[in-house]
Amino acid sequence: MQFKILLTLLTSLLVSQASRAQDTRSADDRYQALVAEVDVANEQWNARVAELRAAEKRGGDPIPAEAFQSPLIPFVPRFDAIAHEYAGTPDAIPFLTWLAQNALPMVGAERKAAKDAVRTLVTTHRTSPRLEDLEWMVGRLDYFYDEQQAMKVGLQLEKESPSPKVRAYATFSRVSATINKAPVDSETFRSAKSEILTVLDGIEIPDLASAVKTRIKMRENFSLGMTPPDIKGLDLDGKSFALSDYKGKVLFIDFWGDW
Amino acid sequence: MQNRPFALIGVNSDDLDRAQAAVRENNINWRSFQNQPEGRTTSISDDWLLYSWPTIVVLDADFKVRYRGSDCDEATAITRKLVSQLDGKTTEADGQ
Repeated sequence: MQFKILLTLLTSLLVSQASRAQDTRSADDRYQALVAEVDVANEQWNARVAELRAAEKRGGDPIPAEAFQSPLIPFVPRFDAIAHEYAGTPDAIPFLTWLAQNALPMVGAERKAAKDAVRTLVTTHRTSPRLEDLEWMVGRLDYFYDEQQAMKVGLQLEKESPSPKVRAYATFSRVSATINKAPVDSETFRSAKSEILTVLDGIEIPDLASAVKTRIKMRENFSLGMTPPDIKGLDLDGKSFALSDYKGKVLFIDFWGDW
Repeated sequence: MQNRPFALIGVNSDDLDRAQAAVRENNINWRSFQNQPEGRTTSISDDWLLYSWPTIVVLDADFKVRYRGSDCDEATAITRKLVSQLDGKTTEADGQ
């Protein structure tokens, strides 16, 4: 049994070395060439969709759903395979970053590859400045790990990343659950709020700062059990009324639209 | 829910013509605010820090938030329970 496992490992190592040996280009050259292929595929896809749209407008057949399938899907296994060839080395980072940035909105095997890529980046390559490109992914480690593991990975990033931006996103990831769920009058909430606001005061990340401040404001002003501001306005016939007119009743307020 | 301490209020995000057409076409019989009528500097959804649509908010009789989210079934169950508690008419059906 052990011999079989050893044999499998040896075979996969030899295959990996062989495919690497076949390609003598540098990792950077291979990355640039693959990205150039992606650009061409994207251009062709855009042209094709524009053509179908124009035909549909002229009264032709409706555009089939498959036409909108991302042209990037076939590239995911290719980026993934090269990232595996360079596993554990800095050469893997651009390929992993591409997967994280492009394959996450996909489904199935492609999304799994993207999630694995993010996990590898935030652990094996946690000291790489390229992690700055992941932004919200570092800020949402709970999307990639269970709560306990997300906390562990976040703390490691806060401790070891040379990038203040990455450390700020990691802090955000770590305190997010507390900001989102802890009672607003609790010490844990106050402490998490103070911690993230202090981190954000020392660094220019306007998007994150705005998102955090909005979240805190929402929790402090609009949590369960709190009283929201009254609504005074016009109904759809142009007549004015106020929500407080209905005080004393249970109110089911539906924010709706005709989408 | 007729004749019980309950009101369904809408906040609509469409332009007025479209909203009025939707009310006519779908026989909507509850009153709705315009989210941001002309002349209003901020929208109701901004004032209420709501960033996703559709959203449901349930307030109890004291005007306190008891539900905020987009799960209609959960919001309805909470509403039924609150109304029952309020009018003292808890029935098995209301508790469901």
